[in-house]
Amino acid sequence: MLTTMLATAKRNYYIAKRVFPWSFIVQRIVIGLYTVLFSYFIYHYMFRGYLDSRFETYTGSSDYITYTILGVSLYTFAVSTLMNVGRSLMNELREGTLEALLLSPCSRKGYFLGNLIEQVGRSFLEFFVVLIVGWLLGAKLLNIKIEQLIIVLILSIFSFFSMGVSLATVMLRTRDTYITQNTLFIIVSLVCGISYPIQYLPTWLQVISHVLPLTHVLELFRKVVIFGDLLWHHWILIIKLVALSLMYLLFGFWWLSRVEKQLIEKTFG
Amino acid sequence: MKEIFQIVRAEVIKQHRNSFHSYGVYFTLLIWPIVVFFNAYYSYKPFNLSQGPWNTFASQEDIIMFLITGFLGYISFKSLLQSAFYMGHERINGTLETIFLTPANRIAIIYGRAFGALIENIWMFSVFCVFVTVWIRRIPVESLIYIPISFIVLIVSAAVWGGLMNVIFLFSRDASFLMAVFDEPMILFSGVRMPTFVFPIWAKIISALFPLTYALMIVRPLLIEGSLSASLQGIYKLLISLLLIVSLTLWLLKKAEKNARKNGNFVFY
Repeated sequence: MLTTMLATAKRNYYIAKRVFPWSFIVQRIVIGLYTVLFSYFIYHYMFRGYLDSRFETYTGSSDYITYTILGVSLYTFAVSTLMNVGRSLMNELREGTLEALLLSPCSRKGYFLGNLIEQVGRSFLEFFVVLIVGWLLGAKLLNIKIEQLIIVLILSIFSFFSMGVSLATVMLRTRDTYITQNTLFIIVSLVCGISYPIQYLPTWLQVISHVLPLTHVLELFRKVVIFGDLLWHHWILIIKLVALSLMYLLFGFWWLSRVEKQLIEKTFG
Repeated sequence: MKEIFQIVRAEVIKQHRNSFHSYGVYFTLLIWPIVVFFNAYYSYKPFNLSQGPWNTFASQEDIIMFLITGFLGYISFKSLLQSAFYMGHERINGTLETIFLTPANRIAIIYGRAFGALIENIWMFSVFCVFVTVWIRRIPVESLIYIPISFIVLIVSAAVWGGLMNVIFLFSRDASFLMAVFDEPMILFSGVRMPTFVFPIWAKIISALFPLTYALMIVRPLLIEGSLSASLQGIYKLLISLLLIVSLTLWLLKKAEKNARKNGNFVFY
């Protein structure tokens, strides 16, 4: 597994070094920054800071700008990780290397981990660009406990990776990246509480929010950054998040093995 | 004239065959805009409508009407941006040089593409808009006569904008980058999700660059208030803006072809 992981990471590093994915990075950062700017405009220019009383009840805070900026920055991080891991197999298919990959006995876990590790730096770059701009626009980020934040970020990488494995399988099954990824991201941005608390949504949409790990990671992230909470105070939330992520991970690998068999039969059978 | 009509018709048929061959089109043209519309609607939830300084929205229905007209305009413009994005595909598919080698009128090609994309792309979302307005019973009866006028304003201004986008995309092989650069600022600064009169001066200057700003200044009073006089002030601004855009399009079109003749080879010409 380790050899495959390192080999995949090294190969992807060379690819990114030679053909740096500027377009995707700029697109995600631009979308993140404009969402932040919209929140800033609507809060300062449109409503001059007058919030609905339920906002504080739902979030425990009246700091709308920090609330939104944390949401948008983590959303940008999630989209970046999901795209880089989720599109991996489809990229192999497009580049003509999928057959060789499926025929080789290399570890599939190692392959996905290699994809994950190689792109972490770039995803963090996008995350921090949005976060820093948000800070310049007034988000309060200086009370962060670094060690707590690091744990939240590790948990978020794990949960986005788990979803990415399932997404990669869906993409391979449907032979599509554009519709699949964008439909997922648009739904995630509606239901995961990026710029408003999920309690404003109808109950049936809240059910969808609860099965998406980003909702729970975001809740933890906000607890740590806005309230300076210690993570162990929210251990139930962490268990929920890890269990949900594990479900995506196991389902993704199980389904991938089935799709792989069908693909091999179609190609070589 | 007959020849120009034939070229426009051919481009419209081509657009239809290119896009309506899979279920994906229902996601991009219907499901995504609806989800994004609801996302914008819920973005207003954290705010107190009665306490802001502008009192633009007295109720949730006002927000829905404001957003639905904004999104109808945006989808019209966005669909043309997308059609322009597919101009890059002509290059990838190797058909761009064939187009330029034919004696077909360039302007007819550009506006044929734009017009074809527009009709194809907005009808589904328009049905959704009609459904929502009937459902919340907010459209005044006298506004019904303004629906055709509004559509003409949107179609003409969006087609002119689409022509410019098509020409700009002729210069680039990496159109997705340009797509992000044009799309996100348009949705924020044109007043799709928020009225532009609340903006600070610098943002108003950016708004002035997008013809969608003026198109919405005309369409919103017509459809929401049923008031022709309130929309008149937008008309001359829109006309000036469209004239400038057409001039820019013609100038850039000549430059793009000259550039392709000089720097392209047979494959990429």
